[in-house]
Amino acid sequence: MFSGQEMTTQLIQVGISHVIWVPDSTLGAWETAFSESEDLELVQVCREGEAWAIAAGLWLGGAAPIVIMQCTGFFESGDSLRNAIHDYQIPLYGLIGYRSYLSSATLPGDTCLRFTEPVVDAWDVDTYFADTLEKRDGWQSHFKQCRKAGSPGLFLMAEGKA
Amino acid sequence: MLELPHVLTHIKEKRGEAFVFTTMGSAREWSKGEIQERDFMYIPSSMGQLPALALGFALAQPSQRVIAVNGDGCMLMNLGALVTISANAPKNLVLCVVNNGEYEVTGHQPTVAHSSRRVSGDISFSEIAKGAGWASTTTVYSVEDLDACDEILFHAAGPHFIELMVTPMTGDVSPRSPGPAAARAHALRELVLSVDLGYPG
Repeated sequence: MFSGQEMTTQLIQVGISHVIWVPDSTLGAWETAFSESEDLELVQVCREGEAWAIAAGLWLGGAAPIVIMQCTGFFESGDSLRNAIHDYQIPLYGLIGYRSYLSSATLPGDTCLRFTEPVVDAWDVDTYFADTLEKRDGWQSHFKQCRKAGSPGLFLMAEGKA
Repeated sequence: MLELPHVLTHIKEKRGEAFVFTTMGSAREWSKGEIQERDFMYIPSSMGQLPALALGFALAQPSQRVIAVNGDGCMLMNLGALVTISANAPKNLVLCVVNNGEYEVTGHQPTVAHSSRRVSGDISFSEIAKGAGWASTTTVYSVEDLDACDEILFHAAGPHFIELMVTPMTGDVSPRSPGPAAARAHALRELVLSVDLGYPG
């Protein structure tokens, strides 16, 4: 949905200081642009649960992080997310790649299609879902609404070949 | 072997302006004494995530010393964090692992790193950290060893990994709430934002 430069520009526009992430085959294409940006610090983690905790620590320290990961990593990292945004009420924002969504007609076997939306719903986070190209830029408004409200949020971004 | 209360008292007395992050047993014992505004007791936790939390804080506040006191059971739950931290190599972060060989708060069950659960002897967390790319690692067995660590614990540029061999606590080791979690988190951020601590953002 985005080139690396497009996403980098949008992250900087909303005031992000650090990107905490695990790349997947879609998100990974953004790495060069993230790395080359002088306005973003890129922190790559080994496993997704770390990402929410690092982001929480960054927020405690006054920074403005975003977490970026695939939905499979989101499944794995639920307890860390729960702890940060519900126990400590830290208003983290995450971009979650929705694996295979745009390939669902031709690749129906990926169980991410079955579990992603119910799991996102289960964590009770205000979520913006961009399931078409036309909706992609709306996440910035959602981010700003969450920041203004001091609440956490997710941008669920469809992945896959349409 | 060290006693956990001695370790924590040592840190309290010498930490200066350092931010100190504790969790599980160390947080329980830490909260029994005087609490400062630069203390963060990570209870409730997502067990295993203290090193990651402390890394984030250290990256956000590079001019501030950050001491994280983790447990061995917690460390086992997130060994990858050792690699993440060494990759970022924050000079202001010290990660301590108090190693009592057991899950204390759940009833003293040995961890899988304890020799009783293994055919190949104890696990060395310092060696794991060294293999994970930490340039500074040490294991502390005694009060004398601990005193000798003061330079790396409180002053020298890091990151430093310090494994502290402690005896398991006895008596009431149940979790102890340090107070409302969200209020403590937001108070720490407010403290950071209210004082110029050097964050460039």
